[in-house]
Amino acid sequence: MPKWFQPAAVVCALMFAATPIVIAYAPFESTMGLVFKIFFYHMPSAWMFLLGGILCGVASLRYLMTGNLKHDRTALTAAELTVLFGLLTLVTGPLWARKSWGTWWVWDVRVTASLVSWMIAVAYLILRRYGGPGSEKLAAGLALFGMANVPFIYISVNYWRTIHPATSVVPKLPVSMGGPLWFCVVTFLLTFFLLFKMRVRLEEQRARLDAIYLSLDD
Amino acid sequence: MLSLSAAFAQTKPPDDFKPISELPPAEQLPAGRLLVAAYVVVIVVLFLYLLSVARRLNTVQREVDRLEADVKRTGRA
Repeated sequence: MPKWFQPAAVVCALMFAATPIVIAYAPFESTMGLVFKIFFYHMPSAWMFLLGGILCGVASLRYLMTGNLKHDRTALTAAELTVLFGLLTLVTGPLWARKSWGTWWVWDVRVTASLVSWMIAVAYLILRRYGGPGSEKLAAGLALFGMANVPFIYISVNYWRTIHPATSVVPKLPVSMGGPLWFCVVTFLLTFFLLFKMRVRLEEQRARLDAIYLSLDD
Repeated sequence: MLSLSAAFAQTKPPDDFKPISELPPAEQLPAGRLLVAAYVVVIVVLFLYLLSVARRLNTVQREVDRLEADVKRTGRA
């Protein structure tokens, strides 16, 4: 791993440890009270989930066009992180919804589209794990559908009748709420980036191991 | 039925968040358990994933180092 990785990991861990303290200073929301503070973890998780979906799609497209295995490794890593952060989003969302909406789950357009996107990412990983030779390209094709779903998830709340808050909420946040939110977003982004680097490194080392075994067989 | 009517209500979705400073304490929603559960799930899941990747990376790295050392020692390319 590069030299900057460990110091970056320490900074990331410290930032994560600081998030509950930073969030504690944010005010309660007038209609939701304490449960609103799930927002500071839910929204960054959702953004990382969407980022993972876009990364996986772009890397898959590049892999299909060039055949370069480096893009395939990137796509696989991004798909795993999409599943991971998607899971966090789909768990923290209902925990928040139970109090704020009075129900664990609503077949709201954004929630449903997010679930579909998450299932596409899971299908990608299952295909890669059990699909055998040639599954890389099949999975890459699937990832393009996942990527196409991402802008739909984001803008759906602006065009459909939905219980989810509109995208105009975040820009209108007062500084007392916006500050902790952006701190959490940066923390999650750094976490995403570090996990991404580690996971790609794992795939690179596996490829290197395979190459060594092949050369020994020769 | 209540959740269905909530889902299909004709009410406008919120487009801003207001701080709670004007509301009386009686209208605040205690939800400590849900909040703690959300934070714990996020931290635990991320930590477990990090541990999983680190463990697999160490295993593969050790194997790569061992094989490269063997190759160097035996002089096989």
